[in-house]
Amino acid sequence: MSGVAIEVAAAPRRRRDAIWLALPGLLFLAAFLVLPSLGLLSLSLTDDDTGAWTLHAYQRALGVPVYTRIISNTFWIALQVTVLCLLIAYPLAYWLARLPARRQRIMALLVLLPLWTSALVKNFAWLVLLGRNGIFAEALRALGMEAPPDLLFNRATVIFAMTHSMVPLAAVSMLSVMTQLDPRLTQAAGTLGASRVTAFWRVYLPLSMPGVASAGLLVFIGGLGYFITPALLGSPRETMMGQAIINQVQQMDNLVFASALSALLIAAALASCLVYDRVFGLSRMTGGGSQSRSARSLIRRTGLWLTRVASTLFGALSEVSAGLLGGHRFAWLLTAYAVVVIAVLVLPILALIPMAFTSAEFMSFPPPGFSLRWFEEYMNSPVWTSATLRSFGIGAATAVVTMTLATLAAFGLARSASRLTPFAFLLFMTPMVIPSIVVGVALFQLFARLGLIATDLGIMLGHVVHAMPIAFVIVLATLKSHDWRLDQAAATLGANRPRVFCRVTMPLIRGGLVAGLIFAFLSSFEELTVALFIGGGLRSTLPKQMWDDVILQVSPLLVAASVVVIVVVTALFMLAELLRPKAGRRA
Amino acid sequence: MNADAQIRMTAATEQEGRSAKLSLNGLAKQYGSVHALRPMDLNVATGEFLTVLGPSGSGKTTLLQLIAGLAEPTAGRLLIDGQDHTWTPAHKRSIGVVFQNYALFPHMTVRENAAFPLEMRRVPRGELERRVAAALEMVGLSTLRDRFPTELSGGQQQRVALARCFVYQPALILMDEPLGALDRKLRETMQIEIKRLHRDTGATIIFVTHDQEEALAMSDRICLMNHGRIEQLGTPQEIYEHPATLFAADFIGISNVLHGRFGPAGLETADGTLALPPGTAGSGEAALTIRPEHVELRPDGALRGRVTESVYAGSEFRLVVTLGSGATLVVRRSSGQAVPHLGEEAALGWAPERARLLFS
Repeated sequence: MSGVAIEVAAAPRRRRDAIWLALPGLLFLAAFLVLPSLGLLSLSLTDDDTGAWTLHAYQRALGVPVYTRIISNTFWIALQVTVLCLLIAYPLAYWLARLPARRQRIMALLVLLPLWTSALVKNFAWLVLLGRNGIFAEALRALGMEAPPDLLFNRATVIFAMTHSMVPLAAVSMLSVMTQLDPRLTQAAGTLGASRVTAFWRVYLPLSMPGVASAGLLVFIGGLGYFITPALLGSPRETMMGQAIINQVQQMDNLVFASALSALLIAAALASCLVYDRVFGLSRMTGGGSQSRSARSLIRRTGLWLTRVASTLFGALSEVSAGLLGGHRFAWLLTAYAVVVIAVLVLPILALIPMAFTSAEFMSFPPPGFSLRWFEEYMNSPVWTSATLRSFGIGAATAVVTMTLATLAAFGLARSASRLTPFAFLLFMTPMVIPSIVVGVALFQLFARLGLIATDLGIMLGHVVHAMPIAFVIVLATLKSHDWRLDQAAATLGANRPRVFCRVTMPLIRGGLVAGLIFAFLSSFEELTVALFIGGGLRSTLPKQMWDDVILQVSPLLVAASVVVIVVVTALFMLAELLRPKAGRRA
Repeated sequence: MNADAQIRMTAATEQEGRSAKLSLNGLAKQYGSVHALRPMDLNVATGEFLTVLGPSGSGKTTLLQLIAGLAEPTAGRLLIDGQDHTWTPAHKRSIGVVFQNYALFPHMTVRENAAFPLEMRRVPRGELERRVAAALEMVGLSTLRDRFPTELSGGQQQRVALARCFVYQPALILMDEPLGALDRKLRETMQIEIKRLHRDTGATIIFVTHDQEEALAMSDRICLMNHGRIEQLGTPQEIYEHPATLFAADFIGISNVLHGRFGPAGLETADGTLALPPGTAGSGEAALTIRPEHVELRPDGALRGRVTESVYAGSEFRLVVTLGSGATLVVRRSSGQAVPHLGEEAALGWAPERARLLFS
């Protein structure tokens, strides 16, 4: 051994925790979500003229009958929509969860497609279909009913259309929990003596409750900030807070009052999150880890008691009905129900397509003849083409920026052992639980000071905030399903870090990254609220242009524009679904 | 088969059916064109511990699901205590099932899990509490009664699953690879535990495993399955000492197999002609198996080869001898006996009656 220099390897530097990779994204959200929200709060507490602290705006919001009615309207409608969504979506999700994998994917697509079709298009479809010359009125006339009943501009229609808009979101939230339930648990309940009905109430339902709760949370918060449906399909009596905020900003120029209303929305959203957290723990929704449950907690005991009562009640009912109907199972009833719900979700969107090819001057159904004139008009209109191009441009920029920030963050958080991880996680998910109208107003007052109003950059920054959670979740899910031992294996086989990344990591997660890009693009492409506030009158995106037009009149040109949106969304959505790595599809 | 014989056979099965806890008559399950379980006849006696052994895909789990009522058969009948239960739904069979990954209800505590089957049977409160306490006591979990399953170790979860099963005293218990997820030491402890529960309760247990050692150690009888049918049914000793087929011999862990054709002097293999065991004969192809402990190193042995592996295993040496054709034989030598070195020539032989002639 003598003469051989023994190389002493330099002691490796302590490796920094990977969480610093999340820093760019965290700073971005701090700058464009947290700070402007705090700015909004302080603005709502200032006097417009003197700049002194005051509660005047809140006194007005909670004291003047016009506004108290709007506020109670908003909560009441959001609550009704939430309950309806949960009731309608649960059997649908239950049905989907029990389908064989292949059919489940196809059927889930039919639910996801309306989820990704913008609320504007869906509500516009109802406006067209339920209008005086729409399909329903025509159908009723054909049935011999003379005066078509008032289908539009009432509360029932608003609630129906909002529910229609958000059932897919509720169903998808529930489905993600239900598909992870171990089917052997209900089987086990069966072998232990529980009938199917009892097994459902005592085992399946309690275990699927986290999905129900997160669905409820997302729908309720979404409903609070809704303005499209009441504006398009409601009467003044259905005015909601979102509309009031837009009105205050755009017509009244009263940013202080708009801030106060927004602050109330934030407070409501945060309160619902707290309730949710008390019952289920926010970590459930975000997929995080720790659970601290107590076997004796009141909520848990109440829940168990309720499921027990329900199971006894429905067990008895099903025994009676089985006795009456010779033990026939009602499986077909559930299938029929699910098919009807999916049809109602998809049909209004599809129904728009033939109407875009009408030769008529005005909307009518059925279209009197085939013509491409409205598409020609769309293509020849500088307003529409520039809005379309801007939407594509901003969408592409949003996708790239969002995915850069989200991918770095997801890498960081997936590999970090830091105790800060859950907080970083929460911040990335926050845009999902803050009504987008609030984000719009918050950014408006920030960008007004930065001179970013009516700029493409301003819209893009807002869209990045909006698209962040979905991009982050997709990348994180991809990374979580990635087997890091493969990277270690590649390293032991002699690949250095860049080569491990290029040859092993990247090819395996590429599908997820592309899907993330597409969904970030779609989020931006369909976003209306931010564009409404930041775009001003000059920089119209496609949804903003449609919104401006639809407020004025319903024309076949708008239908043609909607069809363009539907085609773009459907094509990209299908592409993303094809590329997305399928869980459990391992060779 | 003539009518008379048919009647006699039916009578015989019915006779058996009455004395048996569980009888399968031609029970089968087919998925499309795939035979998950070919028509099977099996009787399990009351109080018996029967192990269903086989490689994955051999139909073990299908068999278990059919018995439990979690899958419906495409043919045949299933009798429990002589009563036809072919179409009885799972929750009315009163069969205890211990699932592969326990299937404990994650939203219920240990106590609530164990109480569930009693609640389903509407057992009065006081008796329920007493029986749950006794069941948890039996598996040594009394102190963990208010924990949730996710807060328990694998072995503790396994005990909860056993308590939840034994608490309602089912007369027939199915266990689907219940020890598969445990490490070796814990597995041996739980094997003893399950044997004890079997003895104490007198329950009939059907235990599925793919581990032949586990099967040999625990069972009254082993039902060896392959390709959806019974390959061999017998006591552990019968199966180990008298495997009926090459598959049985191989699966039970006998590695010394020499293939050949019948010739005038015995079985003609690539490495020489081997004497047939006394009283056997046949034509065409067959194979001889010989257990490692019966292979002797002796100069007049019929087979010659070279020692290619020598493993010291405490009480013995295990030698691998590679024959001219490339076939290998394992030989056991007690420690202390002379052992040839690696690479040396060795001549092998055995008393003909020690070998078994098998047809594939």
